[in-house]
Amino acid sequence: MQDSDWEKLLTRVAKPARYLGTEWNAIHKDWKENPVRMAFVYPDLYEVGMSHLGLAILYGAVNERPGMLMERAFAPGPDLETLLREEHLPLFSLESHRPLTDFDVLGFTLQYEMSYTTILNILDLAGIPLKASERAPEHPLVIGGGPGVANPEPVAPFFDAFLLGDGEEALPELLALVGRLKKEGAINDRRRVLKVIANLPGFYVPSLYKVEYNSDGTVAAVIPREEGVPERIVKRVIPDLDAAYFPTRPIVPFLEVIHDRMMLEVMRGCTRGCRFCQAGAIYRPVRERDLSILLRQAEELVRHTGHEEISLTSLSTADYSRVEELARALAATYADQGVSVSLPSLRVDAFSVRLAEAVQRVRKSTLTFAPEAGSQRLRDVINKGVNEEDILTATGEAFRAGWQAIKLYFMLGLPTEREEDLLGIVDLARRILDQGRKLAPGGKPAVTVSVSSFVPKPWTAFQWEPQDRLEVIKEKQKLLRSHLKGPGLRFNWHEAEVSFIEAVLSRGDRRLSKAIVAAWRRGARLEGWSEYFNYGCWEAAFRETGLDPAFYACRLRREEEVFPWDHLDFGIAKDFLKRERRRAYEGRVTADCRSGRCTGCGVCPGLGVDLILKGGSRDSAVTGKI
Amino acid sequence: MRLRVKYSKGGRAVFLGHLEMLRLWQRAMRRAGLPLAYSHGFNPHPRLAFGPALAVGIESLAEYLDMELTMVLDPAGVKEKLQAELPAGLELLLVFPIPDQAPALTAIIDAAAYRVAWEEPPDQKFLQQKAEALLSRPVVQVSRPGKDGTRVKDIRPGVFQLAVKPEATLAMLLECSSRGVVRPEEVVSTMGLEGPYRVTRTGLFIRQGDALLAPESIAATEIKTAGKGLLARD
Repeated sequence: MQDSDWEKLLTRVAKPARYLGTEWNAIHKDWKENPVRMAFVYPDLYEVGMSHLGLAILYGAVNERPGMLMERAFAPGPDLETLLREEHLPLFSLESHRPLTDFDVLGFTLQYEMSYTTILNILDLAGIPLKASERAPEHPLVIGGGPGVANPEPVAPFFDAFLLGDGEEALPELLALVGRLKKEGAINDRRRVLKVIANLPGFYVPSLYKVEYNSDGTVAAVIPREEGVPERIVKRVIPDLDAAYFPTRPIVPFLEVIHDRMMLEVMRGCTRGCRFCQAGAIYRPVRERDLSILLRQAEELVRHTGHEEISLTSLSTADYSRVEELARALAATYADQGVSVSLPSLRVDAFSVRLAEAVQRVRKSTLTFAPEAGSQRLRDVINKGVNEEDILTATGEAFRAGWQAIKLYFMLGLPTEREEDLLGIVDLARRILDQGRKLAPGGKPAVTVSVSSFVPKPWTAFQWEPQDRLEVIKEKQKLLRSHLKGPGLRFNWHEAEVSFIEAVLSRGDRRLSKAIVAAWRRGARLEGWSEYFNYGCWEAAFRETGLDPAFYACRLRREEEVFPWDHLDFGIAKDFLKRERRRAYEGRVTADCRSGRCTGCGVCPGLGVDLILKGGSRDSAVTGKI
Repeated sequence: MRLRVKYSKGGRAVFLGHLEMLRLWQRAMRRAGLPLAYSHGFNPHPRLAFGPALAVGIESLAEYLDMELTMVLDPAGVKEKLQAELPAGLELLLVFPIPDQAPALTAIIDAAAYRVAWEEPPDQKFLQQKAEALLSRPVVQVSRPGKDGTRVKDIRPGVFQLAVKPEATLAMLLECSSRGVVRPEEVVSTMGLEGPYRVTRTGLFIRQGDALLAPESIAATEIKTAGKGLLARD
């Protein structure tokens, strides 16, 4: 695109700063000197995509290597989309404003199911055929990564390949391979290229596998179509994060983005073992970073970005075995530079509150806890690992320390849920509020209850469970709404229809790709944003394609059923998940494997890795805890 | 100590709005390791004060901001360090100390000069007629859409100067103060002229009678007096 055309486009959109590509630390590599070119495409708006740590990691990891470059692209805002379509201009990358078809590889991250229609929209705006089978040799290889790859089958026809697991090493390997094939002139033989990729560890080429179905509509098998294609694809794991690349010069956005701060990844994985949690399963094992490395990375981040906040990120930061030392050191070092420290996820215990207090010296906005379920019975079913006393102690500490507003996250529709579990949410919220009135005198305590709907996800103990039907979810929301009224109480809930589509897509098979196309054709896109989500598009799409969404979302699956993702290997043993499911029904909790007792999930022996705790051995990590 | 910064904004940076600029400067200053003074209170923020906001898409040759540091530093060194941390399109022109008590930029600046250049320039004489016609009108009403509906405003008192320059460019001096702002596009459309055209802010001024003082053209002590004088005028 000519620079003048580009600037004219920018003068006509509401937030041109989304598309400039000249942010601080953006990398503009020479197009000629770097013959292997990839665009990382985040299938959502800039503000969401730029908050994603994975993008920063891969952008840096690829660009630091000679011979290859990575640029960024995001879903355009609706105003730019209209302009591009009116002017017949293709979607472009930010750094060089080149059409996406100029790249060798397009990498989409599958962060959530509701971005699938946006992926199609981006391919369409780029002028790339939606289906991998319809692409010509000159089209880029379209690959996908991220948590959605736990079950990529609903979007399998749109992708040439998927990467399972960590990408820091695997992605440069793929690009090096593409470079070699380009040099040999073999890149245009698409079939050969795909077969070579299918033999790279961690890469899944869906077109090389066929799916067979049973007469009842369930999957019978997913098997290679030809010889020389692996039967199972094992996820990639970076065994030691200390040795892995980490970006300390990330791009500093001009616009205010969703997470507008430095991200310091303290560890990867989570050992808690909540039975509904997919991230906790697929990012195993836990690998902590060394304290000294984190302190150095923080120093570099502050110096290179100028951000005012350091966020200690991971799935469960308070579990990092040296979190207190880290948080206190950072808070002390950067306080007079106006740089604060934040902990995005908190455990429901007094330790977490004291930690939050230690770092948030001045500003005390809202403290968020996630009890997830309203009764002890149900918290044991999901293996949340906290009891009512923990919760009340934690919230009590928070009020005493000066917080006035507490936010509580719950899930609705969990397996075995009964009305008393829902009323338990109400009871807990009221007790916390009463506590606030006693412990925070003179203040105005406020408790917000935020309720999402349970989505059964692959690789969890609940992957066999049905999701409540829409009308049941709505009834339950109504019950909570009627009880969670009065001064100091607020109630938020997620749109039931969104969770329903999420459940359909997360456990679906390849046949669903037709419904995704149909929904997109009817205008579905940017569906992570409530103002753009349109359930009508999906209802019509299912009708049109003759697919029954309830078959995917609301059906109790037989224990021996073959799942569409059974040929993928995230290290978690199916027997372990079955065992966890039985324990859930019995209300038996399973201890955290940090305690030294292996739960037998299969990840460490299966992937040849081990959990890495920097507080010392497994045992001392626990005894060293406050 | 307080430092006043004059800078230009061009290239891609013209697409950055006022809020984005605010964040950008804070981050650049932190990267440069400048010892910024912070406000005390609920949510501390650096002591930075900007001149009048510039609309998105407009180039400028003369933007200003004041910053407060906790240490006395050599302005030349500050300029060098800070320039190294600025994204493309932002150029530091001057960095100079001002007295601690000097009034804020927004309190002293009351006029902005703009240059309007057309991609396909109109006829020079035609433009001249249009300019004279506007200046001869006692009242020039424009409508401004806002949150509470459209409001009608007379911009004529805020059009201080209007002149046609060679190659059919238009130079304007418009009110730009806390009491009111006249936008260059309003003047252009009132004259019945159309785009595409490019607007450049060429200066920000303190008006003293017929004289125009740039915030850097007077000595630090005079800025102080000028500020007081202007405030006393009301």
